[in-house]
Amino acid sequence: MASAAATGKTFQFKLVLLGESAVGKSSLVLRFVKGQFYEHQESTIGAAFLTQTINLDDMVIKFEIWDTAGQERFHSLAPMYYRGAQAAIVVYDITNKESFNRAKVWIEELQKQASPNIVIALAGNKNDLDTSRTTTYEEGSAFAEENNLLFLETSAKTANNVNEIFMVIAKKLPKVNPTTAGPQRAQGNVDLNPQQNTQSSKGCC
Amino acid sequence: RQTAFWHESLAKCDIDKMNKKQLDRQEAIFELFKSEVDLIEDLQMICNTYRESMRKLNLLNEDELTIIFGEIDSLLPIHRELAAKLVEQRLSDGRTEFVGDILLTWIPKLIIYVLYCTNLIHSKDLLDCKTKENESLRDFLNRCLNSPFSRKLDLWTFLDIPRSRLVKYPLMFKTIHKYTDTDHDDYNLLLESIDLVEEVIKDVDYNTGLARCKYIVDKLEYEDLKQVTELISESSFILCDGILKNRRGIKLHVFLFDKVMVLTRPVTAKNNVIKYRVYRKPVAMNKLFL
Repeated sequence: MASAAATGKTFQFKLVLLGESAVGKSSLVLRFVKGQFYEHQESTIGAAFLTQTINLDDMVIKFEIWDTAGQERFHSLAPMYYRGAQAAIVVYDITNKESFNRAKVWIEELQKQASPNIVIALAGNKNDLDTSRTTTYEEGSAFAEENNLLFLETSAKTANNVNEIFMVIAKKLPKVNPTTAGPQRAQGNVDLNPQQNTQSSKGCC
Repeated sequence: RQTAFWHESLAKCDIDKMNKKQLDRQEAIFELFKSEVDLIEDLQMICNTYRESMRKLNLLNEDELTIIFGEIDSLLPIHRELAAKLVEQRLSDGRTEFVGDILLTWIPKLIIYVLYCTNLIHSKDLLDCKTKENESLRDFLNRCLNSPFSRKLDLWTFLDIPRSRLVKYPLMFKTIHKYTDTDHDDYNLLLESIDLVEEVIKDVDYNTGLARCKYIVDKLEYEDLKQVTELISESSFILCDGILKNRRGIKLHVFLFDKVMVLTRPVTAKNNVIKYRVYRKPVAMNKLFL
């Protein structure tokens, strides 16, 4: 599968967006991909995924962005293979505490289920709504630090830090196998992250 | 693929006559239509470009094609029907006023997704296995990947698109509903549509869970009769699974079924098939502290 494509230094990465419903996953993608924010226009939720290309130094980074909106409530219909993703953005809404707790669970799941080298970013979205904030910047930042995640507070509405979060991910992603690092790499093998848990008499969730 | 908006197809003066909510409603309806058309294109490409070529080139036999492509043929007419109905609903000025009725009669047909989604795990398994062992197939898929029509996506990604599409219907219907006035006929019809499509998805989700559980159970290998327990065959779901290390540093793939926890060691059997050899005795759920 690892054929050398003739496109030079183009790197393609699959990125998944996870988070509770209504935290602004789709808006973040739309803002990044289209450079637009439609206050009342949630277009593109119907698309399977969107792509966006950015330039980083002399490389072209192509993100293939999978918005998992709509899948949150259906356990068995969740993507079977976000294992194939090289990057993930876990989004919460800074005005909704529950969404922050849920983000922690997503991160745990990614660390357990996704490939060991996955780059995970935590995004505290809607930071334009600072007055109704329920999760402080410090809380988000501390959690990210403990878990070795990239962290930014973003606003899809004002575009604050939206391009930046994709940029820091692009910088951190390992640049190997130009263009073949696509979803094809995701195999049926279970490449779960080894856990330190040695207690075999306890459940893992 | 470019995102298209409804208002782009209209004259400026017509748009100016509409208020923001009406415009948003039209955009939401148009998005449902446009993404339905995209889906139809993808489905056709999967059938015509991938499956037909694989058949003609004898890369896979009929049984294998049936497993990999599943019920994809049954999905096409359903989505064509919705797209056609949405076109019929369109008024001469380009607006669409009513969609509730057509959605309510259409949604029950989505139950075919039970067959499609429950098969996906087998589809993925066989596709991976054949790609590993069959060089011509690998070559073919690589050529596809590097051709413009695939948009640099692999076959599995396309096969998985209907699943991710299905779960988006409630979101799209909710968006249309949000921009529908309370006194509009569609207001209640859309509420019913949202409930109905969520029921269908729940059904598909439930059955996909059962299928995944059965798939794993069939892959278990026992070393000792003492390991066999009816708790495994009675289980319907896998609540969680992952790799844990035991005290001696041996990696174990652990499956937490609804009735029992099974520790296994993954082994690669003949034909690159992965099996899970049961390690020690499975632990009944009622003996676990969670």
